[in-house]
Amino acid sequence: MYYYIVDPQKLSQREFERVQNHLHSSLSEYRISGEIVRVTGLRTVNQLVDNAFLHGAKTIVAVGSDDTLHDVINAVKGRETVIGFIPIMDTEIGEILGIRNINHAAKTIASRLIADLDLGSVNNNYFFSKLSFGLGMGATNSKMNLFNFRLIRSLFHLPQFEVKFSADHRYVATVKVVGGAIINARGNNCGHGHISNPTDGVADVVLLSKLPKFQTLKYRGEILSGCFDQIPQASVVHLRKLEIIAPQGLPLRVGSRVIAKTPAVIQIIPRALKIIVGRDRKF
Amino acid sequence: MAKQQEYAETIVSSGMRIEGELKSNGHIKIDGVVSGKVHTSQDLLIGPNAQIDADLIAANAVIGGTVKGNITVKGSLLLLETAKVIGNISCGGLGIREGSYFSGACRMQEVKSEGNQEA
Repeated sequence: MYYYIVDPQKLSQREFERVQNHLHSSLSEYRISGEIVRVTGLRTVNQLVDNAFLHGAKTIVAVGSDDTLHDVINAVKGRETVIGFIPIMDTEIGEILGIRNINHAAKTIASRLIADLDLGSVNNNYFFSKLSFGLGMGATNSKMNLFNFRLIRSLFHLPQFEVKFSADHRYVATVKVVGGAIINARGNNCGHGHISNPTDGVADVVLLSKLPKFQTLKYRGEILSGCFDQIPQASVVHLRKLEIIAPQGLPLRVGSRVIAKTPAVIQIIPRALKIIVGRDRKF
Repeated sequence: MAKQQEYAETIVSSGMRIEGELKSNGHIKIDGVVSGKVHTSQDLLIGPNAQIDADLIAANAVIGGTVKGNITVKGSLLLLETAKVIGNISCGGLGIREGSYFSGACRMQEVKSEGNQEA
């Protein structure tokens, strides 16, 4: 049985009704109808996932954004089930999994191509895509206007801080950075095939030190989109487990959401996620 | 689908300091400071500003910085003009550019001559 958890997030009521109609018709078209429940202030994703297990659901489908999928993955907490994803907007994870829109996602779920993918964990919170930190306090966004003078000026004055981490119990590294990312999987906007494969069992840690002004200007697109590995001065290491020892209290974000603060133990759990993927997946 | 263990290049940038064993199955490029041990089954590139206080093991290596430690390379080792190596070298092939500094013993694998191969 399919159990659909719909998270309207910031959609207006009118937009949400349109999405809901589209969802109903797509599920009927591909004969994958099931129970559809909506996240509200009183019914959290955790409660709905527990309900899904009580109802004997074999497949739990997150309908919403990347945050919705992360919420479902965290609520499932390693229990045996297959997870599906129907993005209701453009999402990075949708792109990684090869799922474009509601209709395409329904078709993908109906074809049931299930992959065992790695999951990242940080202080017992799971993440599928990437964990980022630094670069001021805001989330990076490649869709920002790259010629915005204020934006460029803020990049020149990014705060620098020293990160110290132990890696796979083998070595301790120290580096001054303006930002960094711990990547399990990511979309195609950075165009590097080796980094971000969610089946390789390792996290790709990319750290960006402060650049001279000219370099900052030259690589502002890469900085803002989080493609630090495309910048020559960045450090890149591949690890199964790392512990960020310092600084203390550094927020670690998935998307724009802070899910943990340092000190934090981050590790990759190989093949911990059973998820339905599309034929156009990025790995 | 990518094979497991097919890792991308490891890059230690100029501001990074590593203490311990840096091990990788992919290429390693170091511009920072490393003390301990560096081990890769592929190629190793030490930049001109790097400071290494470690034993190095790699398939092939190009050294441009300062290395204090023994270097073991299966294939070819090249010391660039900016290289300063204090330690013993074991390699298949060796190239030393003018201007580099090397203090230590060097042991190379013997190249089998055609006559020996026929015998």
